[in-house]
Amino acid sequence: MSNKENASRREFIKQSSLGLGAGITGVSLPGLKREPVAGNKKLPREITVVGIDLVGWPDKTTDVRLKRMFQRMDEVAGLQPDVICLPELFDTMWVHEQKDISEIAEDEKVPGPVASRVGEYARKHSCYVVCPIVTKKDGRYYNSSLLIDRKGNIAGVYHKIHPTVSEITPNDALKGGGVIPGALNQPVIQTEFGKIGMQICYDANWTDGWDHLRKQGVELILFSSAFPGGRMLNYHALRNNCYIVSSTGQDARVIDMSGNNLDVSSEFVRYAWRTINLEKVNVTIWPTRDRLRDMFGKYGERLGVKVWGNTGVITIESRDPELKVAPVLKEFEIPAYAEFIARETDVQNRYRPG
Amino acid sequence: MDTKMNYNIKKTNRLPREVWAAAVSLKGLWPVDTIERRMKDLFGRMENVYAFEPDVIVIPETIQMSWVKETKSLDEIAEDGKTPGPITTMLAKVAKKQRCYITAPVITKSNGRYYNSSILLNREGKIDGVFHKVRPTATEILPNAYYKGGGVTPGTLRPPVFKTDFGTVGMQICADASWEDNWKSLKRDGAEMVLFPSQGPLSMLLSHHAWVNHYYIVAATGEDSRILDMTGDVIASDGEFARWVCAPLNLERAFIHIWPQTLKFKDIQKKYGRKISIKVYHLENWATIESLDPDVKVRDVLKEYDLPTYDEQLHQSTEVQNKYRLA
Repeated sequence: MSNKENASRREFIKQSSLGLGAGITGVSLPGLKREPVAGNKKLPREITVVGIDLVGWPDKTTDVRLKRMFQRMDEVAGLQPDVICLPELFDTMWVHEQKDISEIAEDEKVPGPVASRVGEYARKHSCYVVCPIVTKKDGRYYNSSLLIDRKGNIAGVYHKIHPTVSEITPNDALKGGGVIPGALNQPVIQTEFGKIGMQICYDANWTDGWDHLRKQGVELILFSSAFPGGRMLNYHALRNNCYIVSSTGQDARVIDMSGNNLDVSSEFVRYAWRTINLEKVNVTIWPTRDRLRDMFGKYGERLGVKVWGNTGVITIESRDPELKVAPVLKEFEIPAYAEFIARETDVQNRYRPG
Repeated sequence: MDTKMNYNIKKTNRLPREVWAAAVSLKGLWPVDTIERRMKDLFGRMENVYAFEPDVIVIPETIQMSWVKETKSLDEIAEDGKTPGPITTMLAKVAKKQRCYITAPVITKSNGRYYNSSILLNREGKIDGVFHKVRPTATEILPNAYYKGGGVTPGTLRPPVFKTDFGTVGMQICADASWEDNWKSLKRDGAEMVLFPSQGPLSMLLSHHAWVNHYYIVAATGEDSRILDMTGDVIASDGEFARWVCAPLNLERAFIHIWPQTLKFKDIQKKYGRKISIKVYHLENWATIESLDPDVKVRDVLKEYDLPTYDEQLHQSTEVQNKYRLA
């Protein structure tokens, strides 16, 4: 690296540090546009999603933590996000100031202190925010994700299905108590743009929670976590044919339904973002590949088609507000991925002896 | 390469459970006009791996048919799964000469039905067993849709595993990669390595099957050849300068969750030094513990430090979760 490059890099880090400090002391960063940006038209089912990571921990107090995270949230406000995902227990995880679980737990219907602050942000920027905190319901504690809607209200809650043993065991991971594992059959949340599901951290090691969301038609899963999940999340995205936005203690990612990363946070920006299109499906390479020429011939750029050789799928999305993907698939007799597998399985079962 | 070299070199300097696995791809060798040409090309490519004294060699799916212009009916090319047919006999000679296991992916016929199969040949060139593709495509199944003169029957949903002299192996073929149950069945039955003859590479799908089931996968396809770690990592992959792979795999290795086991890693390393290799997969919170000493067994180390395997830990966690979860 040349001295000039080296100097630039150091200057960048210095400026980044100043920016972080400014955020903590409550000084707004310049250049954030919160009014709709002219020309930023989206397709009917396009949304901008953001995952914000927690890197920079530990923090001394919850106040410091919240200031740090809200500063990151302010950084991305100009993207006009539709959904922001925050990390697991984002207000208390790896915070030196340890409070009793009864002090930090918030209600699941009436926003508590942290959910209220997140709600203010959500209302101001008209976006959904996943607010992962400890909640209390019927005298029991849960490791939860509250989905805050565009008006700042609680639209839904997810209870971590698979907490670790140390989270469940009283006074082990959590001071003053333990959490209860969430129900195995939690619902997806219907928003105006599509169906959302949530998962948390250790859940990544099981498939049941993810499967249950898929069976309900989930289109986007928001994953708040302490650990990144790595290839496990790519696997869950592919096998459930849905997008995943992750927000963890070490990284944030946007993962495509094809199982490939679309964006990953880095040391330069501690968030990942993409505008994703929910009018999009996974199909199998065969027989789709043989029909691409005709599809291109008829629809041209009105369709967005990408072949993902590494996972053996093709994604087809509509780039035209007037065009839906399902009729196109029907027109060209292309089954969606799950439909194709189901059909093949039927034939196999019919011909398999016994 | 000197084809007259002595391949019966005694295997030395290997750990007790070290297995050298090889795979050759068909990339650049298709289409061809005749089966004879295909086999000649294949054997030429296989010669590249003999110097490594592989324990097992995997070759691609339906080796006598895939992208061969000379089309014959299923009845003409189907081989017996018990008595070696022409292709299996050719491969068996290599297996015997090289003292290694070889997959012979051919069409077989059994009880009047055809199967897309992989025959496992042992070091004596004898048939150790046959695997039938569990998930052939519908076009393979339906008579005369893909194959001339018939269609193949799907194999059993509980595919066999085979006890070799180096460990327990299973096999899967091509489209099997798009389903999960057949792979999980192999794991339940103790497979430590899965041999994967295929037409298509299906790279990330195979990586997922490897880490989900914690076994090695050796893949030989029409496009590439690869060896995958039990973590899904690529251990070896081919390219335009070598259309084959060969690499050592240590079966004396365990897959664990990192937390809270990582707190004991320092003590383990302090006691065992280079006799034990601990590799951490930070993003996934996994680790593998591998013995690099003939006298150290991983199972004993896990027991000594009270470390559960990944599966054991998830089982224990699930039990506690179920106990505390509200009805």
